[in-house]
Amino acid sequence: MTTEPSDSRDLPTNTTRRSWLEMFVAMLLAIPVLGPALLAAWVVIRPGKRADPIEVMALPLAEIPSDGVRTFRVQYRRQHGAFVEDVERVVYLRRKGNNVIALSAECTHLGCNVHFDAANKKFACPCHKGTFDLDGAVLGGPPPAQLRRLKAIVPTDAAAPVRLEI
Amino acid sequence: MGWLESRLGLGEILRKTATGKITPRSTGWLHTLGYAALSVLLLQGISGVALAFFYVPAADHAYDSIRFLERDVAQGKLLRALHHWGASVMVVLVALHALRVFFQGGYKAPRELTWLAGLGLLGVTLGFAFTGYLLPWDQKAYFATKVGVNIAGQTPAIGEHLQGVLYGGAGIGPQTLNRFFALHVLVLPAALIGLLVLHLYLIQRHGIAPTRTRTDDAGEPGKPYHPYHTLKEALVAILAVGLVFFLAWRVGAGLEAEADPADLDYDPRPDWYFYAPFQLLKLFKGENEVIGAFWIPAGLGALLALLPFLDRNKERVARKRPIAVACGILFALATIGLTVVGMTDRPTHFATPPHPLGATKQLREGYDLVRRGRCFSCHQVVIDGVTYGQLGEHDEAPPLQETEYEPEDLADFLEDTGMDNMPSFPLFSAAQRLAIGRYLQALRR
Ligand code: FES
Repeated sequence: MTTEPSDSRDLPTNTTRRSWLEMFVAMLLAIPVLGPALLAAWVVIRPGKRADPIEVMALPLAEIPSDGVRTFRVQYRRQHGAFVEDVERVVYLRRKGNNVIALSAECTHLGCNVHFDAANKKFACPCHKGTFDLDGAVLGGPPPAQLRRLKAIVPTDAAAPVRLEI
Repeated sequence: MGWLESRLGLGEILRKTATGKITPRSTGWLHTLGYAALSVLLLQGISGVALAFFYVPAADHAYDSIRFLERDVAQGKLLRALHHWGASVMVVLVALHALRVFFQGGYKAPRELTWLAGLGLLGVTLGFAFTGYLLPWDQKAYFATKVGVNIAGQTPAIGEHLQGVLYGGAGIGPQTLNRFFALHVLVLPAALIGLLVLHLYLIQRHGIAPTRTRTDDAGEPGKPYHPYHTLKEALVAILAVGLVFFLAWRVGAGLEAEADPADLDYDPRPDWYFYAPFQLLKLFKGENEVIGAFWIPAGLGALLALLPFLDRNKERVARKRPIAVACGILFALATIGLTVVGMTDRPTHFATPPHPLGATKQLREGYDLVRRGRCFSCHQVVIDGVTYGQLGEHDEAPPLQETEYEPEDLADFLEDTGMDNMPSFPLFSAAQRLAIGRYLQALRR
């Protein structure tokens, strides 16, 4: 004998079948909502394409100091969503022998612009007081990594500008 | 009236569900905070809709549309300031309301879901505050959003992807504004309405929790909800909305220079209600960053959500729940402490002068150029008795308000200064240099 509640006798014998049917129909009702919702979610959260690196002209080697940094504003055009955006970002240039160290001003912590403290020869971030040395290595504060280095291509012709890869 | 009532039956529903209910005796002034928050929420909704009639949600026009609203629309400034201060007051009221419920044990059975829905509403409130930031597309908007989204990017596993979704591209850019606009005016309001309906329905289903007894039945009945408690609610709500109006009228809402990612003189700070997490971030260095950015906030959120299930003590009176109350006080003190430290923490960087809002286009351009030229890195300037900028290595650089050049002469001088310490600006156009001259001339007055 089963131990079902006593009033189950009054119900039709196919209750399980019926509740399955109810559930199935409820699911059918949800389809018109779920379909568009899934599509919308997919369109919105799908990862975007990676952008190709862009080459921009900076300064000739002669204009880049070796004992300090030269603030340079790179300008380029990029696609951001539906917009074509003229971007301007700050890069710090320093000459090291025949090479150029190009550091992005964007703090590796949360992305504020670091500024150059000429008196102490280091970079300081105004947001959470992160500091970096001339090569971009972390000196103190919360930043987890050194300042991002851009690839700098130094031309053989000394008067031609150094090119940076963004 | 009778005709309408016989068809709609609204009065009957109200009498059965809200106005006719008897509240427990322990219901007092502290129980009015939820309604006050709801009133400010309505204020936010109404002022938000009005703002949307002017606002252009595209990065190339957003800032201009706000400036137009502020300068050329009668009471436009007040409207925006209302929405700005409404957000602050809303955050305070929702937080106080949550604290009240916490200390009076209002989250205990059978009101666990009411607490959860309320917590969701707190999250939505903060979400509104955060997404609303970016919309004016000024400096504060740009940098605060960048910091905020980078925090979201610390989320383990999905962080980077989440960042991409919020930004709508590689890094912050014009598309980001549209994403935040959609979140602010479509997604969050929908979430808000759902949670609010659930919250209010549950409050009506379970009634107000008596605060002095363990169970609901033992609570001594007090007076009918309406008009006794509603009177208190109305008074507090009027006070809250009045406060928003007062702040909007006296203090107003700031608008900084238009967003410029290449501005080195900018020291980003969030609004005061985000100081605590902002300060928390400074405490964790290097690899540990993720602790302050993700684990502590996430752990806290989870703890709050599980609170009614973890805390099995049936007592509601604070004296009889020492552990819960101690934790609550500790949390409140930590938040207040961090906020105060965040407020007093001097930035490592110097302050820049305020934007000459409402001045002529030329003066505003001059101001932007002076900042782009990094003049404040070596020159100081005193405006209305406040000193801005810093002295660089060459501390003989004269304060900017003392420049004696006429605008035209200064424009010539800037083209080629012929000085070692003072850079020349041949790349600025003649009109741009003249704008700088005019701005400096205006500083002299
Ligand atoms: S963003 Fe630079 S220290 Fe945080």
